[in-house]
Amino acid sequence: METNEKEFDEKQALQVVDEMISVVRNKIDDNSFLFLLWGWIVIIGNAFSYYWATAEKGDFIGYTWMILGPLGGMITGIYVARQGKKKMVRTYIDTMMAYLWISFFIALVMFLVFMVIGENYSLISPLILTITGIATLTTGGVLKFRPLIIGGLLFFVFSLGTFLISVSSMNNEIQFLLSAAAMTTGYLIPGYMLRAKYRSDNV
Amino acid sequence: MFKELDPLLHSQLRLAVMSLLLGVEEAEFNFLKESTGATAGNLSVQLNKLKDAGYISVKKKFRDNYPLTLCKITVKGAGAFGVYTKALKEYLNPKS
Repeated sequence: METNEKEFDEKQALQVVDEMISVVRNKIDDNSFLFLLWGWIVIIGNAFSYYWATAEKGDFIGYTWMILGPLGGMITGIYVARQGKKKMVRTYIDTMMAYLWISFFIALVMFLVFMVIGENYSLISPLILTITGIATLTTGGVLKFRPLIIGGLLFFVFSLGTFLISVSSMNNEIQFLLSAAAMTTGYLIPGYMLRAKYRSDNV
Repeated sequence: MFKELDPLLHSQLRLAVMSLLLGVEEAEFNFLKESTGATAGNLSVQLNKLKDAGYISVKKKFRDNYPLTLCKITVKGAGAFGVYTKALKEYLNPKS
């Protein structure tokens, strides 16, 4: 950038301000990886859970999540640490999103601990889908990304569905299928669309 | 009567840095260097001027044994930037 101040008039000053503001405005990270990672992990976990439940091997459901959960957590930790090192700028959106998803993670762990200690898993799907809906809808709103907003709203719809199943006489296994569907519309589809948008914006 | 433009901001590189910092929470020296296309030496000099005026804060850290300079706009800097852009608009649209 030239620094010849003599030739720097008011019009050029305004151009500099506009140009630099647009540099920051376009500085949106590729947020798709974690949505795709957790989308696939939870869908696979629910598919296995459904299989174990229908095969009347319910004990294996817990083992499935005990493997998939920490595995996802480990990949997430490595990914976040690597991204943090590469990052040259931090926006207010980055900070807000970090706190939002940390809160989500704490709430999720607390729910799981309460249910394991209380030995009552009947509302596990509706509760997890509800807090996932809060985090996803907020993220979609902050990023102004419609597929994520719709996906976030659908989490609440699926949460209601799983709740109705849990209090009805229907087979509880269907909750696993609904949870997998919620992850498809809430994480996978918006995740792939987010990735495509990021790539087309950064060509 | 036109307001005088803040001479500290009425410089291409310093104004670019302030415009970038206004939209972020904090930015690394290298981000500012890449975005403005300035040389490291020139950018350092201009950052010091903004820092001395209290318009930005500069934090020096280490990441993986490499020095890391993080810059952040201050409340005083954001206020000065607002006054500057308002004065700029008056220059460009004197009737409004």
